Amino acid sequence: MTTATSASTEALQAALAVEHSAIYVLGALGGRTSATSSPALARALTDAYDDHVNAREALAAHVVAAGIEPVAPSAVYDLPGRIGSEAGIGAAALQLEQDTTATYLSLAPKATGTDRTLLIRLLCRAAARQLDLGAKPRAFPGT
Amino acid sequence: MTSERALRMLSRRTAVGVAVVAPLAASACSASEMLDPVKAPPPSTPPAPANPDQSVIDATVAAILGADEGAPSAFVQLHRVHIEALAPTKGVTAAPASGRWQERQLALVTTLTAAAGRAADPQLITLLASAAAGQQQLLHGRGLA
Repeated sequence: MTTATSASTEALQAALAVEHSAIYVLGALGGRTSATSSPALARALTDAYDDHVNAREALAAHVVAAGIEPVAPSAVYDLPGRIGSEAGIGAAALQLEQDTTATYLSLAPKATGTDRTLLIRLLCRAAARQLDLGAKPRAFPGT
Repeated sequence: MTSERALRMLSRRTAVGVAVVAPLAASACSASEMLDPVKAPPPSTPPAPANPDQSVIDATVAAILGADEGAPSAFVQLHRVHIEALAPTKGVTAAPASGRWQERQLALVTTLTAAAGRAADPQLITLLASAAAGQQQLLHGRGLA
């Protein structure tokens, strides 16, 4: 494996680790949200969760295609603080998506070819999800 | 500092400069040799190297300009910001536009992503990738993506 390929796969693995964490945290946030009293937030969290699962699968497929074993999830992740209210849960989910966007943006230049394209596609999805959680559009998300 | 005081200081510096220069001018060396350290580059100096990513930048800006026609002002404003950040060659013209404005905005995300895939400079990759995300955000906010 060349150095460039190795760096590209490492970028995918780093993104995969972020997705494992995001899925865990969003699952926990969704479990604290009532679909009856907070339907919009519950829907946004469900959509985000599904999106992150799809991202995880896409990233894992690229890593496997490179002949590498995908990074495994941790047993447990730290949950954000102040998630006892709808506002707190929404803010935590938005922060998660902003962090995910920034991570993808920092990883994209390290990848090459279709790996880079995938990372940018997932970056775009993360940026779009921010709007579902109350963010305003920005010219350069993730920066 | 008042302008009067600044002028006084400037005059004093000029006076000191003249005092330093005067003995040199009077010496065996010519004053022009001693007082002209900044020299023009020799004629053989090659021009600054061209940006290897400039063709990627210009093609992308042409695509962005081509997506302007008929688009709502929010998209056009975003295009302006992205073009300014990309710093294209002067005189880049819009790529031929076809289809509905919504389709062109969606295609622009793909164009920006593909350009980021081709670019070599990490900073340009970051800029193009983030611009693609900004475009996607605006589309998503309008229910188009």
